[in-house]
Amino acid sequence: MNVGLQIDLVGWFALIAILTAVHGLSGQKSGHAPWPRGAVGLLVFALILMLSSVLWTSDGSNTLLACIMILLGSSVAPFTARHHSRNKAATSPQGNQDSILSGLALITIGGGVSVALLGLTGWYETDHSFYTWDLRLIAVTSLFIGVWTFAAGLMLWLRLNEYLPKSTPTQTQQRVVIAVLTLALGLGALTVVYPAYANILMGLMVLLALELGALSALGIVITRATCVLGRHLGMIGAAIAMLGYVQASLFLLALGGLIVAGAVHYLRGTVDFYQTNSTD
Amino acid sequence: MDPVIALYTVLLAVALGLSGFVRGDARRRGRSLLLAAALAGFILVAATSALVNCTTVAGMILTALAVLFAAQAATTAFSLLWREICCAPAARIPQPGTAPITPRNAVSPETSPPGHSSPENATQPNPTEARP
Repeated sequence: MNVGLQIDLVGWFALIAILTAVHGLSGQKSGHAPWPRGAVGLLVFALILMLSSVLWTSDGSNTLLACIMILLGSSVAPFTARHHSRNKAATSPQGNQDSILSGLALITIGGGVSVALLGLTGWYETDHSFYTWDLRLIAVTSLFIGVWTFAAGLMLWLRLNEYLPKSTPTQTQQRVVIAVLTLALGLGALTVVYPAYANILMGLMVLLALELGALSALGIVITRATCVLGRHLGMIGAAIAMLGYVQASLFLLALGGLIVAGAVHYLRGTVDFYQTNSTD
Repeated sequence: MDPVIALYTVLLAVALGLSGFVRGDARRRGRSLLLAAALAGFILVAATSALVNCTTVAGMILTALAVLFAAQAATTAFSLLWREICCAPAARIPQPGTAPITPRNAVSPETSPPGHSSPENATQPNPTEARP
């Protein structure tokens, strides 16, 4: 995966567009964003600009496959972004809020799977010499973050749609989460140090990450779902920054930092959405 | 890439993001969460870059699936953000004589009883503040 992203010239312009858009969406303190629709348009423009740049600078062998996959993924999105609520009245604000959080959970599922697959690809495309320890570390960390994010998003989605029974967090659950996290981090470190035993160590780590995601999403009261979502969005941001390091792209590094900073504010506190007032 | 340059870039971006995202009241933070999700959709760029530079068949399959899921996540995030933007003006048209929305007035389901979590309640004029 050490590919060298040759898009940083365009990346600077995209970064300027993204920063302007962030300012346009959260610029004023008086509660009225200056030009929110234009800001969202600018964000979409930056994404399309970067995608065009990546596809344009490639050798053309996988361009068609990439375009097909992007179109397929985008065509699924209307089904995952729609408002739906299983047992609650769709018009109630609580039901609508759960519906938005359910959409966010689906975003973390998609992002988590993507990060995990990229980490796995990075592991198998990196040689296991001593000097590539940083690439191995990033691959293993990406795999761990991706699987954890996927499992937490899935459990959260199941809870928000009431496929799982309500649970009350206990002190024991918190201790188990810390123990499993420590064990998974230890296994990840061993994988980086001893790549010869990587298959079994990574398998165990993935299993622990799945369990960790389930525990961390089930061991909370559902009103703290935004905290879990914010934490995992921040982890996806950290993964983007790490991918930026691997691909030698300052654009991805800066963007990952921005996402981490944006997600930090959701580890505590509450959020509310205007969409909860609207109906389909 | 030089790790020191990478670390400096990430630190500067985090500091910039902390100063930019911190603004806004409790209701705006919902929008900021969706904004963070939309920015996380830029994982699509990294995934596409990995795919177009991939050489092995196994790597191509894995990164193609990564692009698929990243595209789904990015488009969903932009849809939710756009819907939030479109819904915002209807909920916050100020009425004459009403107080502007402040974080104190904005409520959330977590901190308020179920009957008081409607956004309309946050925009209702406070009688004591509306009177001169």
